[in-house]
Amino acid sequence: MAKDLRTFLRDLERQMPEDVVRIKKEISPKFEITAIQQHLENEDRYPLLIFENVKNLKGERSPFKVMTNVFASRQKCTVAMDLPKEKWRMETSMEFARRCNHPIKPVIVSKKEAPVKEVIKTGPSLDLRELPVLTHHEMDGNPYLVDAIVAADPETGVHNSSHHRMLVRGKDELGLWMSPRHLWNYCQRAAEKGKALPIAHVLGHHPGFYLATEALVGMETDEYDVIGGVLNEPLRLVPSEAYGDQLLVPADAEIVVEGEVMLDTRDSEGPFGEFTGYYGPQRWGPVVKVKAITHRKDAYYMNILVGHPDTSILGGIPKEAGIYEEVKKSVPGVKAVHFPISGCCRFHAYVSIEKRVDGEGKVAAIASLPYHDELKHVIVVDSDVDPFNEKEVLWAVATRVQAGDDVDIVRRVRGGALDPSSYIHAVGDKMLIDATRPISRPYSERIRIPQEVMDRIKLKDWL
Amino acid sequence: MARIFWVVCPQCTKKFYAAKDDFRNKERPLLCPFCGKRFIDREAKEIIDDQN
Repeated sequence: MAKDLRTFLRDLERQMPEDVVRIKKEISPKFEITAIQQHLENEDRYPLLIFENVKNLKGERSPFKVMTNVFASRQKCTVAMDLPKEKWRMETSMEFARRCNHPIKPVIVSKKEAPVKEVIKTGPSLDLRELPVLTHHEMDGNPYLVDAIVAADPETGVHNSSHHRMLVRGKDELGLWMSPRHLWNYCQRAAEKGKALPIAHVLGHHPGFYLATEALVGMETDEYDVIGGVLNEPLRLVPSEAYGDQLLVPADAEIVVEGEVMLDTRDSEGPFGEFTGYYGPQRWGPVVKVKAITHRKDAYYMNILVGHPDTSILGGIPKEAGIYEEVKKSVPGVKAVHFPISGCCRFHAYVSIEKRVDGEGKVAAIASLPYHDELKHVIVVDSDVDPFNEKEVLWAVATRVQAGDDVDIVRRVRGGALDPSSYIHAVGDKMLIDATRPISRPYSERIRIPQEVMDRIKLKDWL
Repeated sequence: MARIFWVVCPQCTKKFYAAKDDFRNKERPLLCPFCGKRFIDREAKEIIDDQN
């Protein structure tokens, strides 16, 4: 059986049954689902949630169940990588990287073999408002599709998959905003030929599909191959309903919305609560005309809650192993890299190293920076500090850093397009903190209880 | 991030923000996320801008 959202759900229920919660009570997709997620987050709880009785955008009971919080804890992503849940730290990131480095070509299946073609809606029967599309935050105002957009390069046919916000404006119209990356490039080149770019929004698939979508690969790389690598099996594709072989879509998705980006037709879009935890501003973005909606008969509508751990962790894991490999080239003793939730899993990196010589901490910090433009602050710690434990990292900053010597600032470097603190668009400062102990002079010893006593005195025997 | 300006909707008087390069003095209709009112920037009840 091909991997999909359902095989993942079964794997998760096997390993972490307490982490799947089903809610039968009727609920509105406008703010109410995200309110429940926020309440749980306030208690530091992130179960995968399945809402079984959700209204659609017309206020009617939707036949679709809503699934959310799929990525909201690292352990769920660990299960998605076919690892035991205990291997949620660097093992998960390294397994992701290993799979990315072994791409697998997709296979094309017939319409009959594609679950996503069980229901096909085109023409007058098509209506986005039949979907239980969530409105996340107060100033979003409108419901948004937020999973992943796939498109084919208008010249080479290579497929790209990426995350972008899409506002639902009516029964067959969406608004789109994109940063100037691969999809934007495809749209520009299609427009130069006077054509609209066909795209498809993939709502619900195995989490490996979306983690692979966050992999940093060149524009010449077919991301369906990378997704296959991360799934560890060929991704099954099927010709799209509206564009045939020109745009292949995942056969095992829950729901696919097909349409075309009209760069010459624009409208207001946003604000939208972004991964930074702030609203991205209203933009003048291209309109997407929807041409087909296909789905499984009993489809799940998957939603990624942007601006919360659900989207932070999704973006962080794919970058950790990439930075690890970059740092390893110059600092062989690198142990682990963590993108913490406190930095939206984009802006902060904690790097631990087995330091051999003075200055190596700064080398590790410098080597981390170019990997991703959104990375702002790098903290390098010794290997006795766990980079996945923020309290330990900040303790190292408190006790091993003298700002005059150990903090460096690089000004006006390309940065993230959504960083609210930057005053020049997509340009910002970088800060490198070397929180490692010096090698060349005696340094205070970290306190500890003798290991022999720790091993002998067990809590269960005393409390 | 793109430079922003805040606007107050002339219909519901709620506040939201938009990208300056996209809407300021461009005659493009803003869309109030709270009440759906469409209006251009000079029709706003109030504009909070940095003047630059």
